[in-house]
Amino acid sequence: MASITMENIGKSFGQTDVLKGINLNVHDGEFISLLGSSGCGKSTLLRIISGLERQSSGRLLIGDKDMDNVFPKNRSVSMVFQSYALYPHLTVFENMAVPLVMRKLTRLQRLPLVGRFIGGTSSVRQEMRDRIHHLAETLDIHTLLNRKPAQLSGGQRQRVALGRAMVREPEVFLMDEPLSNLDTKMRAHMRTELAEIHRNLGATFVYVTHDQEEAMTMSDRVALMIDGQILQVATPREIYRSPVHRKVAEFIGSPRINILPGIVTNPEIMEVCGIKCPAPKGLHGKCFIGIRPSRLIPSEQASGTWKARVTNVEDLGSSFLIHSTLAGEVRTISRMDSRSVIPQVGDKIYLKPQPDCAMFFDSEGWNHNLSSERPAQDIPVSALTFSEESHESAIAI
Amino acid sequence: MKIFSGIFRHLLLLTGSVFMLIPFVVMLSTSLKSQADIFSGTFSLLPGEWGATANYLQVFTKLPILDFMLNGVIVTTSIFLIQVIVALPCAYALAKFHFKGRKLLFNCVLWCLLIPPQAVAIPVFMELYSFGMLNSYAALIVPWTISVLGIFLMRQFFMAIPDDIIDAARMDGMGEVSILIRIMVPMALPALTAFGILSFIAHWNDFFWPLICLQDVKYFTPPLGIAYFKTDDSGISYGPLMAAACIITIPLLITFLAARKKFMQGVSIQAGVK
Ligand SMILES: Nc1ncnc2c1ncn2[C@@H]1O[C@H](COP(=O)(O)OP(=O)(O)OP(=O)(O)O)[C@@H](O)[C@H]1O
Ligand SMILES: [Mg+2]
Repeated sequence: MASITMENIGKSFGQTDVLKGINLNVHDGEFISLLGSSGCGKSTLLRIISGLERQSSGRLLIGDKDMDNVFPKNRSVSMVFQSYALYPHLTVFENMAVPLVMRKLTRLQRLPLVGRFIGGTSSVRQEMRDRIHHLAETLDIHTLLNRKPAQLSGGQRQRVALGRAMVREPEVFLMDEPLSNLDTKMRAHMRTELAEIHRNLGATFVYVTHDQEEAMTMSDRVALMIDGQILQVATPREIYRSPVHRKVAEFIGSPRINILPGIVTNPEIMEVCGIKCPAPKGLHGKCFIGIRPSRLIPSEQASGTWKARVTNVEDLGSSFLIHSTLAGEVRTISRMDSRSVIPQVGDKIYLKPQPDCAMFFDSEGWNHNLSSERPAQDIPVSALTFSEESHESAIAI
Repeated sequence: MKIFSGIFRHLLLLTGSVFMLIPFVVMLSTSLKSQADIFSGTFSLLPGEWGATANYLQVFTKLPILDFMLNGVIVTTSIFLIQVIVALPCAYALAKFHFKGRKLLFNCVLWCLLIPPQAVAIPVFMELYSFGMLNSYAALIVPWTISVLGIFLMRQFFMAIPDDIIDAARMDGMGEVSILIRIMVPMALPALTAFGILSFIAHWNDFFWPLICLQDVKYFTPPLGIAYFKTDDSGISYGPLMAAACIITIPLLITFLAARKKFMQGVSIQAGVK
């Protein structure tokens, strides 16, 4: 099996730098997701791993072997394309046979008609047939083997593409948004199926997606890419709970995290949208605090809370999303349980952060808790007693 | 209004097709008439005096028409095969490889499309002469082996094939030659058929070039062959001439009808890919 090591990989197309120094270690047998918005260079990185594209700088190792000048076909790597890239003129069976035919048969044995009479061909072909039939059965496409790709549904095509990638048992699977062309239901189904396939094969999976839900549900670790850089590599849980940067916090989690601008006026006292609160040690100047929507909910009490006006209410069935505006035109979203009392549009409400939930980001956006030299201390936000003073009086202190 | 525009459209198309068909109809009807009937001064579609048997018999007795047609087959198939062998790799490279000068090369292809073959006939003739290749099959074949039309047509079709498919093939272990033979050509079969038909028609019917480079009747292609009737001492015998013309269009008709579906797909370039 194989681990993948990327050392400072850069890629530029002409003037534009698409990848800017990617460092990433993918462990053997790991399921890692490359998550990022459109155009951040995910596919490019994947193509570099596959060997279809060559990096402009840096080193790529697969299973401790330097991959410089190793052709895609000589790497133990399979790829599933977003468009599936099935050969339209071949049947499902033939599509799945291609990787085997190209690897197991010699040039002579591949010849039409003549090849059949060269020693060993028929036994190899029989072996290939068996393997394809077996795999088709596990993927539930064995009834489709004689069809052409044009005669398949999206989900079926996806399975065939998966089968073609799996048939030669590579050590590394690369997948470029393989589920993005499926409908929601099929996508959820394939998600569990992919996770299962990964467990059964034990191969290394690198999975590209811009859908955080996919990344969070399937992966052992998520690598978050923004603008050609990897900002954080962590388990789904960790990347959600302790994002290293404001951008990470904003990318992960739906609806988006509330980011409120603040300023540290006196040491260890900060002002956020007109409310004063204690700031963690070492934070100074302009800063931001982040609170997840489910942690910022309306409260009865007027003291120590933010005054807000409700601008929109979305009913999601199981919960409601309350869009509101704080002082200084700061917009927030709160997620409320559908059984609670739901405010109406135009209502004046008080928003209160729940204890232990705020993240502090410094002026450059780095998470203060994590970036400080001290071991990541838990800022006891429960101790955050919001003062009642208004903006003006806060400045007076 | 809708009906009117429909009628108008069909009327227009009908006029066009009648205009196109008339020469063929005249050819066919003339081939059925006797010499006297042809020169009778009045034109009728159906022969007044039946001359078909004599005309067609004369074609086969007076002319080695089957030899001419065999020559035609040899020449056109050789031309097409070599054209394909040259054009496919060129088109693949122009469509899918990124290299310096690709644009310039493709522009050269486009410019070459504009050069009429007659314009370069004399230089090519001299070239063949200096190689001592005149008056042979080679003289008929070699000048046509690089078809810019073929390169252009195939390149356009290859452009429409998604890059992902080629990348997938590379991942599956194919080299570039394998990709060309196993993936590109089967997918581009309609375009290849269309090009094949165009090439076949052009060179089967070519009169100009064989006339220039051949002397020996042994190598004559059909159009040059039937021109024999014209140069007969007894003036032009239109009946047999038209009968011969009818006969040599038969292979064209058969090929076209057999490959009609693929030809249509190929001419409308986008088809066949998805
Ligand atoms: N061959 C190329 N030539 C020039 N620029 C390219 C090329 N390939 C990609 N790019 C650019 O590199 C950037 C990253 O592309 P890439 O395909 O890796 O994005 P992505 O993260 O996969 O996006 P998406 O989620 O939309 O697929 C884009 O801005 C794109 O325009
Ligand atoms: Mg992409």
